[in-house]
Amino acid sequence: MQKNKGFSLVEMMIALLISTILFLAFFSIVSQFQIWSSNLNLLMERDANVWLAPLLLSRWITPAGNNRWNQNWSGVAVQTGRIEINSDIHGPQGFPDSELSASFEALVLRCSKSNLRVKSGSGSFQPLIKNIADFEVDSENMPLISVRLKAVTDRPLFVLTENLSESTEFLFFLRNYRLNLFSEDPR
Amino acid sequence: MGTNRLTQLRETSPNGFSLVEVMVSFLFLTVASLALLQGFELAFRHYSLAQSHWKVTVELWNRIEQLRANPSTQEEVLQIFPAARPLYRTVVSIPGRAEHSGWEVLRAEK
Repeated sequence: MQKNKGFSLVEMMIALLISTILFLAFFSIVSQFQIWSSNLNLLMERDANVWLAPLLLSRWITPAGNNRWNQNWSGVAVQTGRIEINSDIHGPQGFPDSELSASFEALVLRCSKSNLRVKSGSGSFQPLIKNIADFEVDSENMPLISVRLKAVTDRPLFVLTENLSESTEFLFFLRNYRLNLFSEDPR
Repeated sequence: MGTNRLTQLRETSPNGFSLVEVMVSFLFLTVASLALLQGFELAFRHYSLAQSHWKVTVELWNRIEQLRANPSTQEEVLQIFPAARPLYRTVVSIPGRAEHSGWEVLRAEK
């Protein structure tokens, strides 16, 4: 019977050492790739939220203030981190009916629990845009409203210690912000 | 026929892979890693490009909203129909960003 000679202990130790070094080098490169891709993903997600904001908000904010029947409510009410938007732009015949009955006629926007939330009529606040740390509205130059959003990443970035945030300011022109769009009395 | 080269090498060479084989495999690994790195570099470059486009877009958006609120004195009057109310046109431009300039803002009233 033939007796095969195996590796010696020294050969095995050296082989294991070289393998370990190679595996460590390989996995450190792989983990670096994972960190970069994860960070890039977080940043893209953060920006996608802000990039969506002006399109969503302009649909609700820009018609604010139409009050053809001269009812007792203000078109825009701004408080710290909160805006109330009222606009009588809908009714049974397709014309303003003096009531803020449709879901998009009376809205409140505010920021809480890292989300920008919206409330319609007497409903409850629902999340609209996630990962918004700060929401500020400035109505000093009416009918131009300034909205500042501070978006943050879903979780802190790997390796980088700070939670990178992105602040953006949008202006919205309130095209209906006047007491009456029409000179005649609707009654 | 159909013999695996690697198996053949192992059969003929009981000492494992030669230095040349290991070097070639390392070369392949390095090339693959570099290709991956290149991909990430491209992704980051596109990300920063998207960010810079976004900043210009916001600037344009804000300028157009400002124009709607406070009409420019250099508006061009467009009389589409003879008896109708005219339209007022302003061309928005951003200095140094020719590719993002040339947007037209049309207003129906002064």
